[in-house]
Amino acid sequence: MKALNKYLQISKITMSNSLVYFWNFLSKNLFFIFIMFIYLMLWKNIYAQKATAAMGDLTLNGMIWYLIFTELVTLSRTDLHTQVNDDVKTGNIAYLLNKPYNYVLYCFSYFIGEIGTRLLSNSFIGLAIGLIYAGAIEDFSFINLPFIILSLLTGCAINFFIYLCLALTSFWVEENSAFFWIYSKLIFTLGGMLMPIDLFPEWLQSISRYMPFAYVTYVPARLAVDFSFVSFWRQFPIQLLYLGAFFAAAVCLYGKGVRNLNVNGG
Amino acid sequence: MSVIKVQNLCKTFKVKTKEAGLKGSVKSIFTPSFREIHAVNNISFEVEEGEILAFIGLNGAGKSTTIKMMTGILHPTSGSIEVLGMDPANQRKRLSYKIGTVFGQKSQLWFHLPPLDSFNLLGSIYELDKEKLKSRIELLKEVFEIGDLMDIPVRKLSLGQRIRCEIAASILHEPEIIFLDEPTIGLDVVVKQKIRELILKLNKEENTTIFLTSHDAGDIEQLCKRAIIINHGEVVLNETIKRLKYDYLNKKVIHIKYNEAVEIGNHDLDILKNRGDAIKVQVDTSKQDIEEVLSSLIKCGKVEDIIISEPPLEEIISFIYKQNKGGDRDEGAQ
Repeated sequence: MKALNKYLQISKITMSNSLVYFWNFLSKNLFFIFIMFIYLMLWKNIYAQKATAAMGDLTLNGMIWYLIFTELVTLSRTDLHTQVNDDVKTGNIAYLLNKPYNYVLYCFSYFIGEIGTRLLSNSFIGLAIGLIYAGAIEDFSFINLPFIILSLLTGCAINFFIYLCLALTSFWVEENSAFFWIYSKLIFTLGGMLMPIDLFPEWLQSISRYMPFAYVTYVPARLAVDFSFVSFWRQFPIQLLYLGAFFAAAVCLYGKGVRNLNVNGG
Repeated sequence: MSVIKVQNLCKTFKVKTKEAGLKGSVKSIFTPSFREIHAVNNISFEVEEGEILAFIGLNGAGKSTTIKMMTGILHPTSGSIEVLGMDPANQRKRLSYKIGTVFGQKSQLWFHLPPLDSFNLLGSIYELDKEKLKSRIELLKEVFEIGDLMDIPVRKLSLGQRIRCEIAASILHEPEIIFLDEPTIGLDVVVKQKIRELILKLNKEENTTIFLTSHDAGDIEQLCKRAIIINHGEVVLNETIKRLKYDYLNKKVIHIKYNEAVEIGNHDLDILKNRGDAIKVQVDTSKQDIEEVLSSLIKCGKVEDIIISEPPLEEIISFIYKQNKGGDRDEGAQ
């Protein structure tokens, strides 16, 4: 119990710490409003040009809410991976290893502490934007909300562990910023942030549905606008599998990397 | 009883090298070259329970690398370490409950939060009971005089205040050994003295073994009974401070002030400074009798004041380095 309590306390102190930057990340939410406004203009035009009420079975209302949910996952992302990346490169990680905790779980607790405040503030902004731009979500039932939140949090956690794995490559690779760039673009495209993957050509859809990127953003966003228990129980276990896989990968990378740690000097 | 046993310890780092210029940059893409750096090279020593040991060396001598291996952060390339009967590399987590570390240039306190938050977190990390943590914090507040700092964000504290909180935080779990890596770096004289008193108190009252690295001769002279001097990753001296001074401190400096300008008759004296009425003379006691030198100086005129001092430890250390200079290896490379 005490062993578990330490990780809870790390989350708590991270939450307190993130509140210090409250106004800073609240200002980041202005970007959320801006990007959603651009998306609204874009998709309004596309729907008008196509003279259709629904694309890939999503109405304009559904499309705007879908995009809000995908943005919610990525904008609530913590910057811990950049810190881990810098810590490994500069050797500062050495000063975090002399405590009795598991480093990967320490990072995860840190993420939990930060995501709480970020997700909460972004959700308020997202809700306001959605209601103003598109109105309430069509056919939404509050009974489904806990399952949507569960999927959303799992998506955020997969995203976190993928970023952590990429950051931990700095044990071996001198410059790994390209990995983050490529990953963010993969999330943007194959993760369905640009458009739902249902609008992709058949062959790309079938590839995307097997990739982890869709389970970060597409799956929770799609469940939010078009929930069914069938699709939830079909996709949520896959989300959990990906979460487990990337957690294990992070533990492995860390375990191997820390043995090769090269921290020369004080 | 030895609490630290280090035997034939080595740590080699592989560092990427690159020829200068554009050609070198292109070449390094296709045929990267590496150089091995022996940061720690076959060192052996032991530390007794309750001892305060100084681990001294120039920047890049291998001090921090050795501490990192003793705390399980780095894995040795070869050799063995035993800290409190444990192998730090393989039992890092278990060992961390029994040791504390303070790295003068790194903080373990949360920068934007008051120290009390960090103390409570560390209490949970070290799995201390709530009651025990509370009483320990109360005790440390009193000993380190940090009671009124506990609710001020760390970023608002002065360096001296922060270091006091850092040391208090590192002994929250009552470690048996504490590794202090340059704890007084950047502090003014008054605060340095305060920190030294606290370290001595910690050693006396809790019998904590202290492993100290410092560039400050005052820290070593006032705190430690034994010093290990390393250079280029090798132990060049392992002596008691007393012996160190006895062997290397055979030079005394005499400051003498007369009531008027005088003429020095004794031409064998090594005069460092002569202002006429104030003279600074260095005496090598292995070659000259200090009594004779003093009496010849006193005979020169009416003496107003006289001070005999020892050269600072820093000078002794640099003398030892010069004696042990192993070729012209690059210090910065380590």
